[in-house]
Amino acid sequence: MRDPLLTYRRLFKSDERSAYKNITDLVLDDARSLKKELGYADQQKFGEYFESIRAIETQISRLDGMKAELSKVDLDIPLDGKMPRGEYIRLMGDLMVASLQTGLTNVATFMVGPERWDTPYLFESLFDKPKSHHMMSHNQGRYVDDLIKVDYFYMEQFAYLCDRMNRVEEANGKTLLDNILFTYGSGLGDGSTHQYSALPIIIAGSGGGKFITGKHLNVSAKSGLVKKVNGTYKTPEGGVPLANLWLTQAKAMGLKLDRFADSTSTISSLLA
Amino acid sequence: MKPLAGLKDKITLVTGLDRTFQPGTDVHAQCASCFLSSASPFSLKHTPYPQARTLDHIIADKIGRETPFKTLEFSCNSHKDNKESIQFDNISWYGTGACSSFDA
Repeated sequence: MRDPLLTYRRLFKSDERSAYKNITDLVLDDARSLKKELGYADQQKFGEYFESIRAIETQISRLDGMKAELSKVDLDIPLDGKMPRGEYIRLMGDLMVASLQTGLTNVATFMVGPERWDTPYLFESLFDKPKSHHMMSHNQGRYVDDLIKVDYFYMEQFAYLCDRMNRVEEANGKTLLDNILFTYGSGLGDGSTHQYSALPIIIAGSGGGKFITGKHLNVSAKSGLVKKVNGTYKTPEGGVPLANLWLTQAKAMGLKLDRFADSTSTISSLLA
Repeated sequence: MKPLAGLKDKITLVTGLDRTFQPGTDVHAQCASCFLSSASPFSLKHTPYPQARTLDHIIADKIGRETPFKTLEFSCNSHKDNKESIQFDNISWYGTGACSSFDA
């Protein structure tokens, strides 16, 4: 979901849902009468389709059950159109926080920006005109000052969302932030060399006390930035796979897994 | 890190983590699309991307069964004229080649 107004309507507006409900009712009615006329194989195939429509219906009835709870959500109706970067991120972030807070979902991903070249964005508190982050990260010699500002800007947005979550008190007396794992990071350690090593990762929250907080953990001495040696880029020897972090988080959430992707173990130093 | 100063007791900085780039695709294309991937590098034969069902969906299979939405996927890409492939624009995937972001 990337359009704030559509997202808002989908998550928090009940009349939008009644429209969906009317449609699923119609589809299911049609499907029931059609099913009688089908052969066995077609009935099986049709069953899958039937189930997928049923899933939408279940989702809508669960949402309806939360109507009272959702009506208490205090959110301004988002304005349409192109917004300055920070405003856009904070708005989509507010929608994510409200979804977690009300229990619409327990799991969410949040992609701050696409991996796209030629992405002039208006970083409203930094520059007068839209500027391209991709261009900055590729020409660090020339634009390093701008790049530092943009990195800081994105960190401010993350801090804003952490703070929002930290103000939400939950039933167990802790805050929403305490009770979740909110992981911020990038898939590249350095945009100019496109290296997949030395990834910057921050975890906010402790997953309900399962993870330590307030520390800097360097989990590998071998990882590092790609260096240019005699004109060719040398990849470092290899640090701890990122998948070890994902395995650690998945297990803490109660999953019974021995491996996740190329994981080699869990990161026990992260656990409380 | 400065903007997080007020919350430093509630965060952890983790460094020293690496991923493996699998040659055969554009250098940017595995940055986001394989960030949360459950596929090991070189494990999939029919695609150059080591990309399979992502962590969010795998965790949601366990803890997202009672909520109206198993997971939600948010994105702050306001461009309507997306020029690059879907790998550049999605971190959440149901499975190999099936991203779970849609325009709502």
